[in-house]
Amino acid sequence: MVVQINGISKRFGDHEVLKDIHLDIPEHTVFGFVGANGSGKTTLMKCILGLLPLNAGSITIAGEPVTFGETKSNQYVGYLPDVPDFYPFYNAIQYLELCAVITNIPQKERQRRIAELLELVGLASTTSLISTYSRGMKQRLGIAQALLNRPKLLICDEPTSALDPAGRAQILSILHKVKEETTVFFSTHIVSDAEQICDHVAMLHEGTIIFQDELVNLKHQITGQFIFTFTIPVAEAHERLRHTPFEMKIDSKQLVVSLPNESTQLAFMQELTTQKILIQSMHPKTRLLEQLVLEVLG
Amino acid sequence: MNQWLGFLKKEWFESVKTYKLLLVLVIFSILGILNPFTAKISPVLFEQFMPEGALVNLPEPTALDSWLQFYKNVPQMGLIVFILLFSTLMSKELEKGTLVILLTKGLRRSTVITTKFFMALCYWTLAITLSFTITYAYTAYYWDQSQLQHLLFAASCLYVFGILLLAVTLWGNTLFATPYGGTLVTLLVVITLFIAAIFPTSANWNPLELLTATTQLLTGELTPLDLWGPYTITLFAAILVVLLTMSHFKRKLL
Repeated sequence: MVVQINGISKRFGDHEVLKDIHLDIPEHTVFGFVGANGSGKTTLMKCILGLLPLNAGSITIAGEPVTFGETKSNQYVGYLPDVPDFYPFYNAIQYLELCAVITNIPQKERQRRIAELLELVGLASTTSLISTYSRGMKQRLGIAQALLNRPKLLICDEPTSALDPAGRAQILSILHKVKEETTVFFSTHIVSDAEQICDHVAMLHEGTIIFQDELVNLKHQITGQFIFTFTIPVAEAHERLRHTPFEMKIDSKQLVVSLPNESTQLAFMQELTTQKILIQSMHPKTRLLEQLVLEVLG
Repeated sequence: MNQWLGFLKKEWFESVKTYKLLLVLVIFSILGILNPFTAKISPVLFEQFMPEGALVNLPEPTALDSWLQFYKNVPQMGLIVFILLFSTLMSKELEKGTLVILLTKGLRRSTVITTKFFMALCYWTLAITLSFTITYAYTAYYWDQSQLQHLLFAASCLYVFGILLLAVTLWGNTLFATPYGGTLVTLLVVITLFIAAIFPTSANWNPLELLTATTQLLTGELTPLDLWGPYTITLFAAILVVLLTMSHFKRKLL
């Protein structure tokens, strides 16, 4: 595990923002952290970065305990804040050079690493000052600076929340790509973003982790329904199967059939064979993560 | 050390790009020229504004008048503008969040404070040196300065007082993390020093004494030894305030 969070709590005055949080983040995964605004996501991230002191519990990153202030564990971390701001009088290369000096990257390696990262985030051909950058460009520069020291953990706080669809797609694609090099821990309130690239998902609600699991497990909670498309129009297939005992309905040019157990599933297949209806596609209807989150939020 | 120099380079680059260097050069050059110039034209101006026929026996201006202008203009105008120029060193970065990224990369919090203070100190040194040199050269052109005592020490009194105010401004700016925090704290400290100056015994320690005793220093009524109390206390206080700022910033929640 690259990050181990053991029973941490954080209070601001009387308000308990984080309550007994336990979380393990496996290496080389994209770990999505979903939750509504104000649920405590940013506070948890700041605790992991040692920017806020804990009231209880402990955090380790790559085995190094996190302490408040100048924590050694930050040598393993790259951080992208929700609305990153950089020195406007620098261009991307100058800014990354400053970051390289601060992270003690050897001079010989600097230029190559900077060029590599600017290529990765699509800013290689940009020479203008940061003051002229769009929000999306700033986010991409933010990812580049966060990856500069080859961190074991990349923390991104709401990296897509303020971007247009094209910008969001770019950032998600970069985050997915860097998984080979590092572990990505990113928070978002856009559930579809988490669904798109995460291997693991946890949900924080009112300071408590409501669920955490692999996305595949969360999504494949089969509701007993299957979605079919056929080589013939769905309306025609529906008409031909109308007399059968199966519960079915047409939904977005697909046939949704309730097949709660193996025997009904086999019976339905036999019926299709009898009717000579060829299947084009078939998959179980899954519970979308968004539905799960909405259930939690009430 | 690399980190310290790297961040100092950023501070320098920023000060140039945000026209601080240009402003300091222009303002303190003007002040340097203004001091002897004001002393020179003051009698002419007085004569112009007196009622016609009035007889006023104005003494000829001397080098002392020029330097008195220096010790009036630089603390009153120069230092105030200087403090305003450097009053948002920390708050700007804390508000925008530019520092947080670098701090999570391992930038030491003490490095932030010491580099910012050092850069402001360099600018203050440049400002005083520039203004002093121009005033000196211009005054020497018009008058004989050989009668003046402790000229350099008197300038160093102003310099040391400025260092204290810079330290206080940085502390206030770190403490409140708002653009006006630093200026407000500095203003309160100066008001407190003025109130303390009401009591004659405060002359033994009050940093404000470094500004008010310059005339007596130049005329030889006071010697540097007479000001060792306020001088050392001011320097000591400046160092203490910088240490306090570092300690405060180490515990600051970001």
